[in-house]
Amino acid sequence: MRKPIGPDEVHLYNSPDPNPGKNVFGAQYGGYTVRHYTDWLRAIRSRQRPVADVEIGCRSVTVCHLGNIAFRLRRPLKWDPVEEQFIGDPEANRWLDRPMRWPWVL
Amino acid sequence: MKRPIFLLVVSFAVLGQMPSSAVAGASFQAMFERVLPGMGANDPPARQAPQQEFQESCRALSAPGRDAERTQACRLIAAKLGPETPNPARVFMLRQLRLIGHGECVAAVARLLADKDSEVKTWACWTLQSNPAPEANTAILTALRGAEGPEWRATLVAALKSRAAPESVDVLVGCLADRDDGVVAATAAALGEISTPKAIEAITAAVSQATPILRRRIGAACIRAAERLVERGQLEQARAIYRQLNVPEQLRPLRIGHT
Repeated sequence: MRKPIGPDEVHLYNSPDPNPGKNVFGAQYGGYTVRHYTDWLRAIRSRQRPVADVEIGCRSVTVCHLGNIAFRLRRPLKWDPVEEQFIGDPEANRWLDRPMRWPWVL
Repeated sequence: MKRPIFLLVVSFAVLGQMPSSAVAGASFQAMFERVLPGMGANDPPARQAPQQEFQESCRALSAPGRDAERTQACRLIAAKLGPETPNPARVFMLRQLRLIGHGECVAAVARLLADKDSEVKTWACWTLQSNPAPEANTAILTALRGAEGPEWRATLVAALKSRAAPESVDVLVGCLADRDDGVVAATAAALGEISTPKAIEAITAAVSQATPILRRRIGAACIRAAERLVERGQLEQARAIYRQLNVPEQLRPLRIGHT
């Protein structure tokens, strides 16, 4: 960054701090955990998406996983986001989960 | 979570620049024989290069259109899974077969379900879990009928849950009477995932008779079964499960669907 972001430029959303000036959970959390909790409760009340929305997170991380799988298989892959399956590559679909030792489950 | 967006083609320019150590046919056999001793070396760092070369070839053979070569390679690998091969190599081969194996390797992998080494045994189970051939399901069911130890039984049951084959229901219903709570919970989860009428009947009957801890696990399986019914459009059957769980004598977490 060469210069500070100006007031009229695009800013990332910053969840409001419910306890300004107080560090409720200690310095290691820097107050951001509390802000996330607060934002989540606000989203429940307002029926709006929280700042860290689970679906956006899921779709974002999916792209990373797909890139990793394509990288490991050394071939281009076609992804159907509705079915959440690779198209025309059944062996690639076997990379979509991994065995878990009971009682760990998803 | 599922919404129509677009077809995403994942293709990296860098993929085309990567050196491919993929080999086919007779050259796979030559490569395999060359790297096999190294894959089972006593010294873990010494295993790395041979395992990587082997892994790259297996991944290349999993590409569409290379089925004949893949089958041939899996047969070669399956033939080396016996106890004469060191365990680290056997486990590594199983890990590859988990991703590329079909019916051609089921018999060889199924034999390892009775192996003395617990890691080999567990990976054999996971390899069959991912194998698309129906014989793999039969092999797991056969192993479950004679399985010793609750952890091993739960591992086999969890594999059946992942496969979700209706053929597993009869054996799994019997496992609901297992003396170990963990196995019962795993079994209920498997039946909830399979969610055929017989599977649902078994878990909905079991939920009211179970201890509070188990009741919550079996109730969670009932809710999962209801979700599966909704996915299939069988709404009335799903409602029947929810109604059965939403009664005053039932645990509150189940009544509110908090599993």
